[in-house]
Amino acid sequence: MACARGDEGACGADEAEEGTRSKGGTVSARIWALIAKGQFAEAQALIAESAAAGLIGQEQATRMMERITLLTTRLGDIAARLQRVANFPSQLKNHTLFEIKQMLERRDYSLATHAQLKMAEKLIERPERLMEKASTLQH
Amino acid sequence: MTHPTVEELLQKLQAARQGGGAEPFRLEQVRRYRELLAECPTFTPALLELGRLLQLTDEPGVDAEEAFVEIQKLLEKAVQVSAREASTVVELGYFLDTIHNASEKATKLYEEGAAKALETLEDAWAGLLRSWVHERTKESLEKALRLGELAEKLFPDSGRIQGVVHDVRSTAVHDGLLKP
Repeated sequence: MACARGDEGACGADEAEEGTRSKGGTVSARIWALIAKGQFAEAQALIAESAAAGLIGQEQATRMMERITLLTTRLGDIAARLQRVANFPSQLKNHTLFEIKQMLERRDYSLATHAQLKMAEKLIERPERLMEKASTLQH
Repeated sequence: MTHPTVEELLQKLQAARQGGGAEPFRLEQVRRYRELLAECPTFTPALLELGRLLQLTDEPGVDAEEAFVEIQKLLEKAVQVSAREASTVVELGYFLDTIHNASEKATKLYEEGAAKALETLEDAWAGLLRSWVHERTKESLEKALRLGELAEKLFPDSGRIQGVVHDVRSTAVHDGLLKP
């Protein structure tokens, strides 16, 4: 898909040729690509714009925003109980999940060991899953 | 003490599930789950849900290590009394993976949970496909043809799936929805 690169210029011509449905698909691929690259402000603006124009559904917009919230969560923001696990990597407290994922991807162990980065990633992702499980029970 | 009835248990479980959100409300939830488990210590949903809740709740005066021991016991009990039901096995896997950094043990549990869930999926899809063949409308057969394709890919060795997908196709051919 041409627009999966999230490259503004490259997408224009394709979009003009495609129908509304595939255009919606293209926009959503572009938003996910922005999120994956950590360009959250741009992604948020495009989500708001696309949802208002009806190019993406409200539910999809919510899922995208939730993903951004998770990726921008800092290790120090997670539930206090989870910060008390043995060998908690507190030097990563001010780092977001996105930054931690980048360190893992780049094998950058200057701030924390491989094991500590993996632990931080799991700990930040954990509450989201637990909250999700709890909220489905209430409905 | 007489055992609570199913209705009483479900009512108490429903009450325990309400609230959540901010810490004081979660502490209140914890109290309700504990009361329920005091009455019925082998009630799987309560074991599982309290096990999850305690990971997000900082109970005053309870040391973290002590809390993690309690959570592990709750989840292990849920696995045991549910005869290793998929959701309990996966939950214990996540706990060991995140809290104890025990990836190897967790991987085994994820595999077991996935295998159990797949068995259920195979069973459910075979039943669903059979119902749609019996319903035998254009819509139900079209849905069955679409699901049948997916089911065949996911369960290439399942006799039940292969059998019912065969029935879907021959009925669809007979009714003119699929070329022979």
